[in-house]
Amino acid sequence: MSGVGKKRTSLKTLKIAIIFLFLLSPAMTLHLRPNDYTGGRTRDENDRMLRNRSAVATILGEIRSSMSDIMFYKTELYLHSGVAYKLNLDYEALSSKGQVVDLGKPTANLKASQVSHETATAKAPEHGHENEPELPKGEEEIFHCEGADTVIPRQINDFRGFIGDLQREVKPWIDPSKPHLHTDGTELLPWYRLMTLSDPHYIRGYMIGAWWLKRQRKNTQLEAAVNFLKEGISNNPEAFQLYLMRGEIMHTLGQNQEAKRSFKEAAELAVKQRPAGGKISKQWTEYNEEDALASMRLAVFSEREFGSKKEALALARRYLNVLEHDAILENLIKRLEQK
Amino acid sequence: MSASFDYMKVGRWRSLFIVGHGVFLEMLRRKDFYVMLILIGLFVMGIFVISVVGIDNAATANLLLNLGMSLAWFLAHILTLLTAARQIPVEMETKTLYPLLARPLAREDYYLGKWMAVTISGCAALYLLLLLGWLPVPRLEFYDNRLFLQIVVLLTVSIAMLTALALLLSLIIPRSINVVFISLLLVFGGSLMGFFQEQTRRTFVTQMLKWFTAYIPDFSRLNLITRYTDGIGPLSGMEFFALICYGVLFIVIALFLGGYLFRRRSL
Amino acid sequence: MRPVWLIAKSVLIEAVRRREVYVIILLSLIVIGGVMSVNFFGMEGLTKFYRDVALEVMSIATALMVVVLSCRQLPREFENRTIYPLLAKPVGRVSFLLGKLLGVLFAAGFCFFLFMLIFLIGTWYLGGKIPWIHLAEYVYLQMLAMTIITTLGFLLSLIMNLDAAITIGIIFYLTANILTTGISYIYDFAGSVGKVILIIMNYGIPQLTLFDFSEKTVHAVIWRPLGIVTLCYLTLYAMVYIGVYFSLSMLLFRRREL
Repeated sequence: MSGVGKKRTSLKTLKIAIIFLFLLSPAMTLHLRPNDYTGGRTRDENDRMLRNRSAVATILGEIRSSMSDIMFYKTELYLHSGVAYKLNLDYEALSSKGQVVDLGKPTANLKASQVSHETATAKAPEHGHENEPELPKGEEEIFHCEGADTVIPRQINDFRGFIGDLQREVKPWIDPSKPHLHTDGTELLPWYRLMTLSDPHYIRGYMIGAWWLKRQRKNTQLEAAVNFLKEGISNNPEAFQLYLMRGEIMHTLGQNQEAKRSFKEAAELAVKQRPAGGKISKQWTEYNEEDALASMRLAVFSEREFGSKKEALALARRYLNVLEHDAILENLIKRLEQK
Repeated sequence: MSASFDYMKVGRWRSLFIVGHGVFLEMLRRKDFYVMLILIGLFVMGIFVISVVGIDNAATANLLLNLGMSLAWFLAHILTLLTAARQIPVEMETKTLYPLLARPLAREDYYLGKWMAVTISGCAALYLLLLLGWLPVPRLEFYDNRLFLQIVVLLTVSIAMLTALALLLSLIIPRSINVVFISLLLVFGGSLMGFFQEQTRRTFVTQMLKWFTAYIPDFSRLNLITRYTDGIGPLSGMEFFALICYGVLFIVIALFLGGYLFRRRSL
Repeated sequence: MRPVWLIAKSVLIEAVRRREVYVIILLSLIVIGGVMSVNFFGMEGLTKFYRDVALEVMSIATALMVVVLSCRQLPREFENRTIYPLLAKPVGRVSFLLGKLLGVLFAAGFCFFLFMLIFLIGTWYLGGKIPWIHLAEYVYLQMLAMTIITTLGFLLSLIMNLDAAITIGIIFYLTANILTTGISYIYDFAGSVGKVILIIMNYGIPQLTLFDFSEKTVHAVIWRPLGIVTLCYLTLYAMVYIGVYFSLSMLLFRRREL
């Protein structure tokens, strides 16, 4: 009996100990984040382009294993009014300069202002087929003539007969031989917001989102962009591009001292991260090099305009030492030395 | 005295085995393996399509590896959930529970036997699907085998945790709500809680709320598949051990609570 | 026709009484509400995102409900032995199956109706314009897809066990887009035998993606609605598969020993 009693007591003690441990467990578990790391192939932009342009990804459509890849797909769809092209956009250009540029074989790259008034305002050129999109008046569009390939094939390349015809009717589709349209990417902002919430280390998401907000040119959205970038910087303190972009937006808002500080932070980080001679590689692309140059130049310019010329000269000399050769900085140094 | 104590121990294991055996027989009778065959067929079809289309580069191979393993994770967990969620409610509905408990089979043993059997079958499904998702994809980049072993262990703990939770909730809420709730917790729980925990400001109330969200099981912590395909290294010994303890703690609490509720339930 | 309506009514009442429908709707409401509540940089009128998420959630939720409901109809009647008194009355097997089909469709319609209400309230709240014609065409095409899924569900539940039938139904629905894209993409890579198989798959398996008008509805400001001719073709296409699956189900149901 005493053995059974002892067993019951020890079991009860064990249960209490386990419950107590469980109640205290958040002290440990809140710090357990095995999936919280920076880098990784999922975030590598080159890898992202390669995998999302593969045949497998084309077949999978929207199905991906990461939110940022889903975003990649959604960006293509939204900018092309729902038409599924075999992935085509230059994301480096989009995040670095806010430019919507197609990869592939450019034959003409027309902006709305270059196209004749009639075609630029309302409808796509050669509008005839009932399936062609109809743009509301005043909607900005950029026409590209690269002949990008659609996921849904053209009728002459399609063995599926009437099923293919029905799919081209039901789904957004433009004949790939015709110029295609890029519509406003503002509607993508919620997706970029979600993406950065699900992956706070996706730097490109912050950059592209900030570009689209900046395009709104309204103070509310510019301030929202600054807060968005602030969040991005707190999650990615080494991402110099975010500081650069924050500086640009601060400057637009007229907060020049803040802008100057941001440019300088961007420049210092860029100097730290830039490989010797600015050698272009998988890790340091042309866009990284351009952003780094922009950071250093803007740091010097803003110091000259809103700070001390002596400090600007010192910065310019220092950055020129790093870059070895930069016509803009050399010119600036000459002017500052003359003064 | 000790001989009868030994007999009780043997008797207990025998009871667990009998209950578990019953679960497997039921699964055979219901032809639950059809579902496994369908899922295996799905993977085989995927492998076939890939062999036709080809893998252009290492990034595509990485995508396929991640998708295959993630699909295996998801399907194994859903199958386990569906099996666990129906165990006790169905036995109560069809009244096959009573003859079992009329025998000298303690309710706790019955409950534990169910958990063990469903966990074992869930793990079997997991290993098979994981193999199908992992093996056929060419390894064109570096992947750490130590991390892969850690994944297998942690996913086993995850399956056991899911089973314990599903069995517990099957005593409290209807089956369909149980399945839907745990499915959502499985897929979205980690991101939602992570988002909430990141966003909370440093006030006392929000910090307390943050503390309490840690009591909700987060299956994403035990899922390291993306870390593996991202080429990140294995967890340190301490972190790995802490994660196992995290899972085991939830399992034990859920089993205790479930056993207690089942014992007090009027049948 | 009266027995058909009675059976349909009982299926609808059962579906409405079951908590699952409301759980699915409630969860969808939470997702949609969550989407609406997140502050997207103080910008208003960002309706494409809302439409995209809401329509996707709605169609997946309804499809899952329809798969489960349709696959469960016949096995449950057999298990509970409630089919015998029904067929003992002068209710033919055709009427019985037709009644079940209509009942599941009414339940799907009921689900869609609730979802549409939520969707319209959400769009009004966000200040967006409602593309009525696109939306009506979207609902119509989705109902055609649900009818195909329902008849397929009956057929599958007569061939295999309940869990397997539900699994195949769900996989079939969720991979519809992959199937269509895959068939057209892989054709160029396939050999002569592979091409024949793909052609058979193309015409033999219903392409559910043809009934998904959500993308044009999301980007409704750009795209015109479908013409009547296209809708007629799609209806005809759906009817072929509905007819085939229903006939096969009838055949198997007739041969089943009670």
